[in-house]
Amino acid sequence: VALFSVGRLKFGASPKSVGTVGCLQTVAKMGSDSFVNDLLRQSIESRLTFLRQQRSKGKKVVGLSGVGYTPEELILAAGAIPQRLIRGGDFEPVEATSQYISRFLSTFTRAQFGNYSTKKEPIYQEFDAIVGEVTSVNMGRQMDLFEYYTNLPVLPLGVPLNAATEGAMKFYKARLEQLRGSLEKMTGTKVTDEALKKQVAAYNRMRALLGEISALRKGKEIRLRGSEFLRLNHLTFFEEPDRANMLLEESLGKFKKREPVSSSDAPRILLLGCPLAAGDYALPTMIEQAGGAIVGEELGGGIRHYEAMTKLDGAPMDNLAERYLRGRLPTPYFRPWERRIPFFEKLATELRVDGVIWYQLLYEEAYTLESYWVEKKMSEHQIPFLIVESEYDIERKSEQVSTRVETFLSTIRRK
Amino acid sequence: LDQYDQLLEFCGFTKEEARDYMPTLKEGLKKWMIGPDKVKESVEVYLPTYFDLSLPPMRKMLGVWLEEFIKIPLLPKDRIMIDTILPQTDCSMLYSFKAAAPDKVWVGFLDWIAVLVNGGFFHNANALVDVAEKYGMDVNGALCPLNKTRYAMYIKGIVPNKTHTLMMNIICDDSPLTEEMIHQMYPDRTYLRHIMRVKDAPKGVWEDEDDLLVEHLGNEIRSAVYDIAEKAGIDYKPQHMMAAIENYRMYAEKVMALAMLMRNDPVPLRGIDFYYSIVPMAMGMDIDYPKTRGILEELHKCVKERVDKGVGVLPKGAPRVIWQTTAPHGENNWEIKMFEDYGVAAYWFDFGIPLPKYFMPPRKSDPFDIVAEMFLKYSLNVEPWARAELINQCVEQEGLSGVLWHQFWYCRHWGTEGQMVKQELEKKSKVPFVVFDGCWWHARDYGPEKLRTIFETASVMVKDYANKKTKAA
Repeated sequence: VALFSVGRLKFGASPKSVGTVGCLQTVAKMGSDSFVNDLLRQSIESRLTFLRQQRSKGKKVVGLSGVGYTPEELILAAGAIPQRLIRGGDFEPVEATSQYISRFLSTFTRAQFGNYSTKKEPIYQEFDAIVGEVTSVNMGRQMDLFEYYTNLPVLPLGVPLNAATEGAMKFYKARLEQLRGSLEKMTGTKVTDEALKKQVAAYNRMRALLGEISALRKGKEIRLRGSEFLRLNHLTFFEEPDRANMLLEESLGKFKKREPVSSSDAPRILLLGCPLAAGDYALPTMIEQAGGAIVGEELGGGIRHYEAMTKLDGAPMDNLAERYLRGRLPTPYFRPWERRIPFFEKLATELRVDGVIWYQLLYEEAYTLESYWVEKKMSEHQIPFLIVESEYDIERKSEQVSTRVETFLSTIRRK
Repeated sequence: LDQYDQLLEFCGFTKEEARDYMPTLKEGLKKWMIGPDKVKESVEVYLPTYFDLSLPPMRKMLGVWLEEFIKIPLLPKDRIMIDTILPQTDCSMLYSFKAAAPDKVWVGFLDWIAVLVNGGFFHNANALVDVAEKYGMDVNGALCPLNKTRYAMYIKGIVPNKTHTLMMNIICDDSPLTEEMIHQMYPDRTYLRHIMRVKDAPKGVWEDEDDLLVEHLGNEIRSAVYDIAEKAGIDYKPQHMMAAIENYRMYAEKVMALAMLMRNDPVPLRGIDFYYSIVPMAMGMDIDYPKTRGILEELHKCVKERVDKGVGVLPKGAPRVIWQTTAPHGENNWEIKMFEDYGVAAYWFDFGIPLPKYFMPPRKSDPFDIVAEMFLKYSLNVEPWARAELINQCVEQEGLSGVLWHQFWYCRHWGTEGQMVKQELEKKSKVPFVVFDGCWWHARDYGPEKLRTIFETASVMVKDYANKKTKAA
């Protein structure tokens, strides 16, 4: 009961405690001792050059606005380059959107448009079009922001949130076919089954590698940090699939040979909650600096989902629809709520976690609501639960947040 | 007369009717946690301040609302409850169940009835919001108080029976997710069926004219209605939907007739009275349309008399505006009155302004597709550019002098489209468009005097524009 009571504490809700010395410096370091950090930095830096070169050759760059329900395979098969809108972590672009829209919209959503409108993210300036993937009102408004305040062509991709129904699949397939038509018109390249299958194979390989790398955290000896896995996962959004796969393979080899990176008695933490953007690493870093080991995560559209593969046999468009609409774990905006909480329970059990930290971005309402039930479920398993809220302002209040995290981990250690 | 007698008198009950109804009233109010003090405050302050009690049919209309409100916690145990959330437009779907099994089902829109009476009559909406916040609808989440109200109604046991909910996922996520919260909390007390609209139409596409979108929504409605009917044990036929559509059409005609009278100068009926009279068109109530239609006919007669005599509720020439306030709820009846006190007539939403688009014959012939088409053409449900287009039609048709837009903090749909609608409208019209930012639901979130200054300033802007318009004419 005492442990559980820690759960609903949020930063700012109780007095400061000791133990936050050096926190700002810690956040600034952000795992800089890892080769993965350099890999991600290089990928992001070279991405801009790559996109510019490709555009100068006549290639089109298609921004993917959303949380991962747009098959990148389809964009590539049409001869274009997909680029997820996945950057975040800075408050400034979020704040800058207030001239366009109410602030009571998901932090992640506002960050994407803010990074575009303020030009803080140069990669976003290279888009020739954008897919407006709609999986929530937040994402619908993100599509609107691009439609109403930019000249970018927006290609709609509404995703029915009752994904298990036949009607939902019918609609999603129809929209995917329309998207295919729009892409073909834009690039002048016909999407063939062969091209799709080639891309499907590459992405399946990527998912398998991510799964293998992530599994290195399952055992008692942990050979990669959660923050490293998150960065590697994000890296795949900034590389062409073949090169991403090569980098993942090399990294896997290094991790396997490496000495354990966490002490064997480090509290094993499951990180759940809202989309974690590329660049938003303050919380994972704090957890690790406080001695916790992030052994698993489910962060909505903030990571590339790797648990479901796309079938290679049969009609590729149907296979893509099946995988993207129903294969991956849905976000909590999907209804009915059926799959997520059992999945979290399974993860917690399989990974033998000692605690769950819930990352709550402001105004992501589905996650706010869901957290209440996840906490209840975890309490049934005697697993302590902590919510950390953010509007990409964790670094500003790092002492408060790190105090919560440190207290939480200390409580687990005393258990 | 004690406050309970007074309440029933204000709500159009005869002495005999009041005597018979009194035990039910007291029992129902107790279930709603409304004590004698709240009733006293209601009859001394809220009802006489905000409603035109000089009109007998208006009293009867308030009586309908009160009865609907009292009925909910007292429903017989064998009554099948079919709730619909966020219809916004067309209640045919809901009333088709009433057509199929009139004596077996209760149909309605739980939270809207709750707030329009609990808040509008008794100034008691905060109480339920506070309850919801203790059970996972976290105050930091900026969640909609309308949905918090519904959630709290379950938690406090105000909803007595198992509900079959037709969740219209038309504009927002908060409502359907609240239903998921309720279902998590009471899986045995709810059967939940989502009707999913996909809101991804590109700018420039009218959704009601897009076959993929209409047919998808039509199919969703069809399958959900049959599913609910099966689960509730109702023998449902397509003709029930056709009967409900016709019933709805007849009611809408009366609403439109009243709306036409509102065009007269001076404006003959106050905004709040107009709203409470026409809103059953857009939200479910268990009472069927024929009764409310009769009251509307009486009200029309009274208002027509005022028009014929040149009598109004505001001075002749008072400018008119659209007052877009998100999640209309009785707790903010004072908003419209405040504008009226400053000499501005406010339509609550563009709701109630009959536009030619609404009267176009449906393109589809299947009854479920027709209902889908209605949903997708109505101004409150459309994309920002289309909303601006429809508002512009309202401005031109009704000679409006302002669009006053409450950018409600806790609404991801209406609370986030204001700037986009404004930008689009300004391409077509010079009418002032003022955005008000805030939440005025819970007393903790606003200060009336600060708002009075803001409302006064907006009213001055509107009057200036109206004067310039008159001079130019």
